Amino acid sequence: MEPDQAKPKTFLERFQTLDRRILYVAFFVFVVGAHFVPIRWPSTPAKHTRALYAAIENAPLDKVVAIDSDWFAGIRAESENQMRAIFHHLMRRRLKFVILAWARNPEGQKFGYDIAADVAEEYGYEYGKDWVAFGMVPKARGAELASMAKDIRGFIQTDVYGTSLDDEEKLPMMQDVENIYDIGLIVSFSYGFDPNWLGFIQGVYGTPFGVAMSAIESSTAYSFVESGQICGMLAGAAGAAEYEQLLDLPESKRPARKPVNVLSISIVYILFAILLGNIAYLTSLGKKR
Amino acid sequence: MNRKTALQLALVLGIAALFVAGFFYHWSRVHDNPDVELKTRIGAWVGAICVFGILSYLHSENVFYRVFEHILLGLGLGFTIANVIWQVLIAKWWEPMYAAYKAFYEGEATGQSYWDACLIVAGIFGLLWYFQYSKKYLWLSRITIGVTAGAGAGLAIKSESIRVLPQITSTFKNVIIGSSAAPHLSVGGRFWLSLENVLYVVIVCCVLYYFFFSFRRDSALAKAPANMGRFFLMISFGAFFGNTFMTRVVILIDRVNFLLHDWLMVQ
Repeated sequence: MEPDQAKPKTFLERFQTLDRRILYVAFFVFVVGAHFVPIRWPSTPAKHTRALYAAIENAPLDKVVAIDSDWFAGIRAESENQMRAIFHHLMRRRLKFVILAWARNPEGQKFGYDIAADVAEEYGYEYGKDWVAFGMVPKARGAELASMAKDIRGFIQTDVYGTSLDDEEKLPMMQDVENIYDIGLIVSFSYGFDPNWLGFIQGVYGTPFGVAMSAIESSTAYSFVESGQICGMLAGAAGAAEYEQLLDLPESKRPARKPVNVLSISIVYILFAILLGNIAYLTSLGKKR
Repeated sequence: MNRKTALQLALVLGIAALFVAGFFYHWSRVHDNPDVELKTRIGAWVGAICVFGILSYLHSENVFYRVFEHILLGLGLGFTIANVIWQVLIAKWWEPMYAAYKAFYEGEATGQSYWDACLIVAGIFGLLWYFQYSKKYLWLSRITIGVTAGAGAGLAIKSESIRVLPQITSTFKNVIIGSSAAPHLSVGGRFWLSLENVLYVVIVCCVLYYFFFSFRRDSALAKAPANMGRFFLMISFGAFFGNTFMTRVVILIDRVNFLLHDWLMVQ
């Protein structure tokens, strides 16, 4: 046997050939453990988060805010808390709002409705009078947005219960909503925002357009925020936590805070693994030379 | 027993042990929380089993994972189909069209009835897609495809130009911010904003230059901006990856949160 082969492997050598599944299990344990760490990491609201806050703060009270609930169960961890925070702000300002739902993401309709109904109870918002959830419509290449802009009631037709939007008794709020000029602000909740909102609504009618999206896709929106086409953005769970901070909500109404704390702790694990992996790699390079 | 089998056995036994421990812990918590409904508890158990089923893919591709993958896909598809049928096809196509023809039959037609009656044209036009499955009448489906593609292209051209042009104009930054351009800022503030804009313009130029392949970059002077452009791109890719990591980990955190609080009812 060669003398080199007989030599036991060092920790760093072992680390380089470590089974990835061990890293997964260790990470899972780390994340579970992080749930019990009572650290509250300080956070400073980002420029684009503050911009969305300002947009809602300046939204006209005589117009309606359109909430585009275009998300699905896979990103519930991020979108749910973002939406909850935005609803708190809308209802605190007594802004009326409608929830748009698309056949592309049917789950979005239910999630949007459930969260709005939950927050509405707290603020005494009444369905039909203060907010309405629209029935589902197909979504294709922005044509539906162009049609909707000209005649909202005619295009959407019914709410989530199948009630006609022209029904004055059940949906009195909708009687003042004719077209896009009755919408003061649009906030889109999605995995990655639909650029047709810019091409058919914001760019044509100048309606302020804000987004709340997953962190993974937020990189695609920064250039639009920079150009002013998007008036503000919430990026991932961190965006939701920042928004809760801006609203100065009580601790019990800040569901985004805990995941962000755990996330901050989890980053330590990843940084440690990257660092150790690179040290091990560089050490092995040195030995080969 | 080889190493792979031993690892798989350890995984199955580990999950089984976790479920048994979870069951006893859950049971003890239920006594402390009698208000929690039975359906909520069953839902939490089903959810927990699904979470472990999907996470088992991290070990390796296995039957347990595939079962839950198919359940998830089936549920998602079924939910979408049901919603589209009830909320789109029936609510927005069939019902207004049926009401319009009924109104014509009963002699109570209004101006709207004429428009709603025209919905039958959209239905027939849409059904032409299905001639894709017929070799003899395939040409009929091409009518729908042609109209859809043409309308789609027209819409895309309009949307793209409205969306992209402001991006170009917003790149033209003022690199020397004077007091007239930003009167609300102090001298220091204007200096930093100018620096920020200079950096912005330099990065845009370097990255654009990196993708400019019309001549050879032989000299060091010609190579330098391209190298810088690549360097800036690498930084942005790093930021993209950081964002990817954020979303993925938050999804895991949410599931762990579910297991701890909804399933195990840990306070």
